[in-house]
Formats: sequence, structure tokens, C-alpha cells
Amino acid sequence: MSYNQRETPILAELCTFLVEDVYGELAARVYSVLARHGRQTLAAIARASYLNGRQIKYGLVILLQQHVIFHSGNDALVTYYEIDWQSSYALVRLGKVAKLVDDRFGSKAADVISHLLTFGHTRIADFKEAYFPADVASDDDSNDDIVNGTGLKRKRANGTHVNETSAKTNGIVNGVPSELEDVKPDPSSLTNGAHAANGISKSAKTNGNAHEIYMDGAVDLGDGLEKEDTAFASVDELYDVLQLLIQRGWVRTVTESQYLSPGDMHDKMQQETIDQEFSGSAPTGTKDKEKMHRAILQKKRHMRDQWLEVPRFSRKRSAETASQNGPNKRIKVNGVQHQPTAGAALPEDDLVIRVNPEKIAVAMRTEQLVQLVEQRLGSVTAHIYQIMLRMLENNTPRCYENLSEPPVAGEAANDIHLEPQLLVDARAIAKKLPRDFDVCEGLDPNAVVSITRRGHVRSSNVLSQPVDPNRIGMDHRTELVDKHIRLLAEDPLHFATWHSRAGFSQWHIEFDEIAKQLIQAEVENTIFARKGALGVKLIRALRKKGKLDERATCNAMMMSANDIRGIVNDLTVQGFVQTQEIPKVERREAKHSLHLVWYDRQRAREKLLHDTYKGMVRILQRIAFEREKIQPLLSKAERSDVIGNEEKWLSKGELDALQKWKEVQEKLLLQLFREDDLVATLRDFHGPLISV
Amino acid sequence: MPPGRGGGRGGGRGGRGGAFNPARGTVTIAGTELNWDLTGLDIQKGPAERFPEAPPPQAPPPTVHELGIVSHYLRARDRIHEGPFYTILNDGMKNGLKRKANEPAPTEASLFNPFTDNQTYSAKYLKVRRRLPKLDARPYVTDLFPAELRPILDGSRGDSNPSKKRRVLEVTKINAVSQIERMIKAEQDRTNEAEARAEEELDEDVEEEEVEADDDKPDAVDEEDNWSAVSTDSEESDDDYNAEQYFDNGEDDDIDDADPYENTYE
Repeated sequence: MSYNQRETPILAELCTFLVEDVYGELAARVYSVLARHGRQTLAAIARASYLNGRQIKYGLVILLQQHVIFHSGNDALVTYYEIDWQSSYALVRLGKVAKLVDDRFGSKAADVISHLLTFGHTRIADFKEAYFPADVASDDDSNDDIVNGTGLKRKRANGTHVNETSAKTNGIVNGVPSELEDVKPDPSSLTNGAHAANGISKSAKTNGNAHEIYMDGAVDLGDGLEKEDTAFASVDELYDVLQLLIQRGWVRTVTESQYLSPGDMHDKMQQETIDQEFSGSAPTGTKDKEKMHRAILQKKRHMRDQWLEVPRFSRKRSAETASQNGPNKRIKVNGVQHQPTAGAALPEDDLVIRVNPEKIAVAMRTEQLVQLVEQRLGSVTAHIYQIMLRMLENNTPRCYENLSEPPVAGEAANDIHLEPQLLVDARAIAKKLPRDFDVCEGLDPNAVVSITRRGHVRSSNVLSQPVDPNRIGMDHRTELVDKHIRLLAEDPLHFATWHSRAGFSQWHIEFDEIAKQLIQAEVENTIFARKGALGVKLIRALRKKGKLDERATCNAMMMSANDIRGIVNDLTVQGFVQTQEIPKVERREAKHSLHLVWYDRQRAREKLLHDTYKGMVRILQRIAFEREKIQPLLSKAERSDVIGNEEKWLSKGELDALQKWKEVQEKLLLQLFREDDLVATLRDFHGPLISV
Repeated sequence: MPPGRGGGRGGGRGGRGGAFNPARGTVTIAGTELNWDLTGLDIQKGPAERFPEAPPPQAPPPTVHELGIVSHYLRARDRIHEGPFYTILNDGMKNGLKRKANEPAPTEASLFNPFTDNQTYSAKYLKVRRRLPKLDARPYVTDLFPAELRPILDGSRGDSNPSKKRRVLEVTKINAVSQIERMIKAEQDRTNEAEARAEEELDEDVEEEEVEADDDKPDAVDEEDNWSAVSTDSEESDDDYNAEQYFDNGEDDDIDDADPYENTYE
């Protein structure tokens, strides 16, 4: 079969849609050639495509600038281009990244990260200039804007505008990250969870607290984030935010080696290893080969860690980049006063930075776990868990180690060694809790009484003497928090694991185990929705017992063969259950063979992931179709004479149609992002599962 | 049960349909075991409905967090769409691959939509989309790009004099979504105003208001449609393409009043 008769792989289709949706048609056309043909040179792309050379080059520049494709560097004669699937898929997380950063570091940091995503990579100096344009720049760019521009775009952030808006947004809410300024503060389009949710009954608690954590973090860091508006008052503030994001691993520096595709990287490392350790000749023996394999992994890890290294900032904090805790606050705050004036060129201006894609998955994992805990154990425990996870997040560069050493045969697995920064204790959490946070909520009243030693529990499970959360001493508070952590540990999912008694018992979190359980839960959810409880029963039975033939399945499930067959068939067709036929005699006869069924979690996971990708493609197609339907109206609404005079040129029906389009688009995007959460669970939280 | 088979019941075997099981006092009909006493039981005799009503599952409403994600996404995407990289080719191709041999090339005529693509006066206000990205609008870190692409990054387009223009990144604040929101807001304001006005109208003088309102409307129509609009009555109804309304069916010819023998030979 020739290539163009085959169906496009679903991820390629999805990523092409995403690229088209975000970067437009030219980029998507070039991308689709690469997606179809794989690794290609410029000439080969030109041969396979109907586009002309200039168009292809321009498209490649866009894709490279946004890190959607790799290139093989300039060492060889020809340069190969290859798609970076992970980061092309990550386009769907544009909004999620900004929102996650918003929750953690405030709206200014969200603004920065969102712009960084828009720019791809950039020099810090250029980035600074985007926010604080030099005077020369202001009249220079005027004639370019008209092509895509809307006329209104001119009101860009030059000095006056910034000041004016900051005055406007300041003081809407104290300490809470306020709305980004281009969003209308009407209740339908809330960007910001914190104060909006206070009116909503159920989620009020966690969301309300979320911003307290944020405040906590900001105070803890002691840089200029306390006062909240999205416009930066000074260059220093921008640098502070950037530095914070780099330290926390959200932004990393870009080197040329990051443009190498995994294959090129491997070849390079292999060559280096051979040159250095095997004096230029490739090893032949198994032992030597394994040694080389390890050396290559070692090199890859080293390189990856180098990318994440925090560059030394020449400014105030250069001495203390390593530690990020409270005691430094004074020095930092004091340091602000005698700064070099803004605009002076700094040595780090030449650094090239981009958003670190691996960190996003870590933050998404935090969000999902907190949500899960909230469902299972209540919002107070969830909030405590959130603090725990966010403390760990700062020291977790990625969800799982993808380059780990293969275990040495014969050598027992060394016992778990955990670095101290992956441990949390209750006291640290208790310190981070706001004063009026009701830690007693969600606990067994008997436990509360045994800690506070006041009053007793009435028969109706009510405390005889109410406890005022404001008056609990630090020790009691710590004990109460510890009780919450015990709740987390005792949950069937083991959200926390006891580690040692040092301090007030330290805990760590076994993310790997939880991730596996999450994956299994998602698979079971899907099967439950499709086949009901019996399907899940079958999966669980097979998972526990391994490969079974029909009779054994009946015994394990305590059901008749007739009832089971239909489910087995359906699930096999859907790819969640595997079958195998083993002939007992020479002739391969159905009567004389064993028919086994079993459940392979890795295959089920991949199948579900595949289905999810497909669902996302359908959503994107649907969005495109809905947009197509309303396109004449949208282009009318974009007309330069209509903008600003909408009530004059657009009829009531047209405005209603626009409103409806907005709702439809938001609803579909929402579903897209939910499916993206599922993708994160299935793909990003755990490496390939080896089935037992 | 057909009355003729009454005697055979005890035999249990055979007979199409029912089988009586005296031990349990049940009868099996169409494979289903039922109580013997069937009074009041309504058995579905017809075939099952082929497409039974199955309402699709509804997604739960968005949480505040999710709304935040959506609005951040839209903002970032619209910023990119306003930026120098966003292109729309509109060349009728689905992807960047070469056409197959038997596939005709899209021609200008085949891409032309007679309903919307006719140029009117107002087309001069339409937003112009790029067909090639504007690469010289922003600075690049040239070292990170392969050598064969570096020349176009300098903005020199092959010849060797790089443009002197200063390149800056842009931090835009306006976007299309906020435009839609703005329009909707304006519309809401207008309806609110109209309501308020309607209330006032009751006791204040009506004429002035009406004159004012009339002033706006013809203006709008004039400027927008003076290229294509000939008939005035169709504008209000958005019904230009309804041929029926132009065909008067001979009703207005008033033949009744005229002399019935006018056109006849005598």
C-alpha cells in the first residue's frame, strides 16, 4: 500500500489541527508534510509538497521558533527536520500553563509565561524590550501593524498605557491576583478563581484558600509580587518574576542541543562515549555494550540537568540562588532599594529562555491529585495536600525519570533512598496554613478531642466545646495537620507514605504508585461507561488472575459462560482485553485449542490514549465546522469600520449569533481541555508500564 | 395462550411460545420466565424500537478553574493570531502534500464563493490576513537556527542588505474575544437603554425619540449597501435571495377592473 492510501496516524492529525489552529495554515501545511513523511531535509520537503521553497522556509522558521520541530544542527552537510511530538501536542496546554502559573505566582507571572509561550524562545533582553519598549521603537513599528492589526492594537503597552491600567486594576481585591486587564470583569468570564468562587458554595473553601497559598508563597519569596496588577511597574519587577520562574523550573534556558531530536541526541552521545571511553572503536561484547549504554544514559541525564541549571543572575540574588526559604526575605527586600537603574544592560540579557514543558505535567499532576483528594476526603484535607504537593513541586523537575539506569542483574535493588527535599513534615505545612484556617474540619471529632484535650464528643458526633481555629497553638495545629496526613496515607490510594520519625514524622509521596492507580482508574471508568459493572468486574478478575480460559473465567467471576462471552467479545473488539489461542494438538482446531483472555494494562492504556486523541481530533473538527458556519459574520465583526461601532453595524440577531458562537467555542474547548487532563494521566505521569 | 392448546399444557414440551413449569408455577414465554397469573401484565408484542431515545451524556458545567484555563487559552491564541506568524492561505488545499495526479488543481473559479466573495464597497474594511508570515517583525536568536534558514531571518530575502528596521517583540492586550465581549456588552447596553427609553416614553414626548432613532437607521443602511441594494423593502427582512418575494404571481394586475374584452378581437 502506498503511503497516501493509508489513514493518517491519529496523533499526527491532532497535532496538525493544533498547529493550524494556533499558528495558521502555512505552518500547518509544512507541518503536515513532516508528519506524513517523517524526518526530512529541506529539499525533500520541497519535493513532497506543493508549496514553493520560500513558503516552506518561512513555515520552518515558525515551527522552529515555537519549538514544534527539531533540526539536526549544522555539523553535517544537510540539516534534517523532525517533528517534536511532545511539544506539538503541548500547544493544547497554552491556557493551562498560564492558569497554573497564575494560581502559583500570580497574574503577572501568568502574563509573562503566556507571552513566553507566544514568542517561543527569546533573549531576555528582547523580552524586556517587549514590556518596556525603548522610545525609539514606538514610532518604528507603526506601519507593520495594519496588516493583521485591528487599529486598536496600537494602544500597546507603552509607558503611559501601563501606568494608567495599573491604576485601574489596583485595589480591586487586596492581595488577590486581579483580573488580567483585557478581560471584562463580568461574572461570565472569570479568569481568576480566588475571589470569584467565594460565592459558590461547594468549591468556596479550596478556591478561597488557593489564593492564600499563593500569598503565602509570595511573602515567602519576598519579591515584589505582593502588590497585584498585571502591568509591571519596573524592569526589576519583571526580572524578579523571570528569575523566580527559572528557579522554580517553569522556565529554562535554551541551548542549541535542545533542538536535537532524541535520535540525533543519542547518536551524538554514543559517538562521544565511544570516542572517550572506548578509544574510538565501537564495543562488541555484551558487557561493554551495556557499559556504553549506561554511559550514554548518564550523559543524557547530565545534559538534561544542565538545561535546568539556574543561571547566575548578576543582580541581588546571585549569592543565594540555591536556597529559597524565608530567612532570605529581608536581604532580598532590602536589596531592591539599591538597584542599578532600569534599562542598564545586564550580563544575563543574552540568555535565551523558554517555557519548560516538563514542569507543566508536574503541576497538572498536582492539580489532579488535589481534585481527587477533594472528592474522596474533603476540601480541608485537599488543601493540606495541595500545600504538600506544591512544596514538593519546587524540587520536582519532571513526573518520572525517563532515563533511569536499568537494574543490574544479580544485584538486589538498593533500598529506597530519598533526597531530603522530597520529604515533607506536618510542621512545615502547619506553618504555611493561614491563621484562620479550620484544621479541625474533616477530622474525626474524637481525634480532635484527643489532641485538644477539651470537652468530649457527644453521642451525635458533635464536640461539646467548639474549637476556635484561631486559638490552636502551633503544636496542636501540627498534630491536627498530621491527622489529616494520616487520613491521606490510610486512603486506599495511599496519597502519602510515612518515611521517618525525624522531626514530626516525615512523609513522602509515591507518585509512581498513585499514577499507576490513576491510570487503572481511568481505564475502569471508561469500561464502566461502555460495558457497565460487569465489564469492570471482568477486567479486575483478569488483572488479578492473569491469563484465563473460559472455564477459569467463569469460576473467577462466578458467572455463567453465556453472560461473560458477550462482554469478553466487546472488550476484545474495543482493545481492552487481549485474547490468545494455543493449539493443543498439531492441527490447529478450535475444539482442541485453549482460548485465553487476559488484560494488559499497558495496551489498555495505549488504546484509551489513542481513543482520547481521536476524541480531541473530533472536537477540533467540530470547532472548525462551527467556525465555518459563522465565518461571514466573524469577518464582518472584524471589519475595521465595525470595530468600535458594533451597535451601529451589527443587528441584534448577529450579536446573538456571536454570543452563541462564543458559548459553543468555550464549551468545546472545555471538553478539549478535559480530555487533555485524561491524556496527562494516561501518558505523562508514568513511564511505560511493564505488565506482569 | 390460545384456547385450543389448553390440554397440552401439562406436557410442557413442544408448542410454540409458552411452556408451563408446574413445579415453580411459572410459564416461560419467549425465553422469559413469568408468573402463571398474567393478569395485568402488558407484554410487548411488537419488535423493539430500532433507534430508542438515548439522550447523550451531558458534560458537567465548567468550574472556575476551567473557565480560567479557557480564557487564558483564548487570549494566548488570539495574541498569536494577531502576531506576525499567523497566516491564512485560502488556496483550497487540505494539507501541504503534493496533489495526486488525478486531482485537479484548485482554480480561482472553484475557490470563488458567489454568495460571499463578491467584492462590495465595504470589502475595503475587511481585515487582511497574511499569506506569508512577516518574519522581519521580531528579533531572533539566529544561532539556534540551521544555517540554511538564517538568511531569511535577517530579513534580507536573498539579497545581502539586512533591513535596518528595529525589531521588537510585542505584548498585545487587545484580542478578538474581548471584541466579541465588547460587542455583546454594547448590545446589552443598548437593550437596557431601549428598555429604559420605552419606560420613559410613556410620559415624555415620543416624537423626538423617534426622529432620533430614525436618523440612525437609514444612514446605516445607505452606507453599507449602496452597491448592491436596489429594492428597499428586502433589506429589513434579510431575505434578498428569496425569489418568491419578487414574483408577484399576477395578483396586482387588477384585471378585474379593466374591460374584460380589451385585448380581444371583436
